[in-house]
Amino acid sequence: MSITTLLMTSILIFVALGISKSQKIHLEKEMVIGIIRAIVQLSLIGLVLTYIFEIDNRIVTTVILMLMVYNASRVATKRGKNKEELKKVAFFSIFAGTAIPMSVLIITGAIEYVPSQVIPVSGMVIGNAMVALGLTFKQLHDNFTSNFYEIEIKLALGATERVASIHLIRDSIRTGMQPIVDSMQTLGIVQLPGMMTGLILAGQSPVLAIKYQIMVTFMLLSAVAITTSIGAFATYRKYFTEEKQVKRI
Amino acid sequence: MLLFEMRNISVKINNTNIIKNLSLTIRKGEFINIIGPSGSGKSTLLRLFNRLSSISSGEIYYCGKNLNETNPISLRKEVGYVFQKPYLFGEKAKENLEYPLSIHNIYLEKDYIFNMLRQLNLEQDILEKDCENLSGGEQQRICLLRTLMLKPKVLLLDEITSSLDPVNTKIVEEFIVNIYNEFDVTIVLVTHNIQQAKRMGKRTIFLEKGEILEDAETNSYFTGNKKEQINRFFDK
Repeated sequence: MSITTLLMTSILIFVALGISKSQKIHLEKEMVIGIIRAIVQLSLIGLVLTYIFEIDNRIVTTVILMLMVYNASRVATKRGKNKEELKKVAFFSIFAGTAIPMSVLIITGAIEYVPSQVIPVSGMVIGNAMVALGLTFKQLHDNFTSNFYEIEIKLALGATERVASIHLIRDSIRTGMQPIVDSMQTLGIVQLPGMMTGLILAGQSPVLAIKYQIMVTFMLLSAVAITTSIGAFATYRKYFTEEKQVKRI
Repeated sequence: MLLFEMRNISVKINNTNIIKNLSLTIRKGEFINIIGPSGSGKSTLLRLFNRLSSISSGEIYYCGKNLNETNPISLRKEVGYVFQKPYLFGEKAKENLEYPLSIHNIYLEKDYIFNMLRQLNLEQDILEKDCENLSGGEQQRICLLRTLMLKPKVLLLDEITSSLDPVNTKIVEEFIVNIYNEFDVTIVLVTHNIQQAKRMGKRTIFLEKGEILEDAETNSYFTGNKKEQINRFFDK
């Protein structure tokens, strides 16, 4: 795609701005800022990625991946309470949720540990893990707040913290995993995912694109399952005191 | 035998003294009422016995052992607590009776449960009913039974009849008295109702602003000269 063609597609921006203006949605300013940010951020990351792909250094690649995990853990906890405490859990959960499936992909030879392959694939994993973990944390907090009395009754019956709240932990994990499970069920019917679309647009055969997409689906499913499970099980204890009392946060 | 001993305990929540320098002993086999106006610290005091709440200072001993050194889980198995507001979890009523048994790996004879249900004026088929279809009175009776599944040595009852009508209150009161007479159990009952206290425990502790104003035989509250505060409470 040429720059001219890209510029011509920008006419679509004015469609959105026109709707916002005529319907008094008052999003014009945010839209313009969003568009500028998207162009600047993507251009910068394009330059950075070009440089990283060129130097092809494993240490630099690993540092980039760690930075991505760190940023994702900050975003996943931004709406929760006790952010500092949650950030450590979030970092470890997303790290494990990324490292395990990525290791499987590398060991099985599906991808190589080179920046041009590891960074974009990890980006997909980390992004999905981040969203799932944010949902899990929120659901866990809502569950503990709305089921406070039930947990206390169970503790009074001599239940451990885990036994008293296991159904709430499981519900939180389920909530975190639900979007990826739902999207799996509509793959190919409702949506053609970004990676598959990208490969097809880049001239690869649909068969190869589908193979990669199936691999990505497996990877995302395991990443989200690992991240949400570790996140929920590592977090639920903060809702209890050392004396096995449930506390309001 | 001394079951509980509280030595100069205080409870402070959000910089407010709920319990102030309180000392108290409870002997095995006693049936004690704790009465007092709202906010006097009755429920907080009750929650301390099975570590649902914690003391800010002082010491509590259970069977001669510092409560802080006991495992809260085994303590709560022995020291049962029934809450003021009836709350059943799960779908069917029976899940509530199965829960304490399953978490402690206890097998209980069905006859024990059926006998309890009979005493509580409940039919056996209530176990198969959906919790949400039970009346408040039925729910509270199941809550009481849920705690009794563990055959606790101590039964802590926190205003358990406050949301019940007179008929259900009478059933629950008679049941508790039967339990006390039939089993080797110590009971501590928190109540707002002085007439209920008269019908229930032999010893009554009057609490106001986190302090014990009176600790005497229940009958003496109706015959002896009482402090002004207690009379005011009675007048209500």
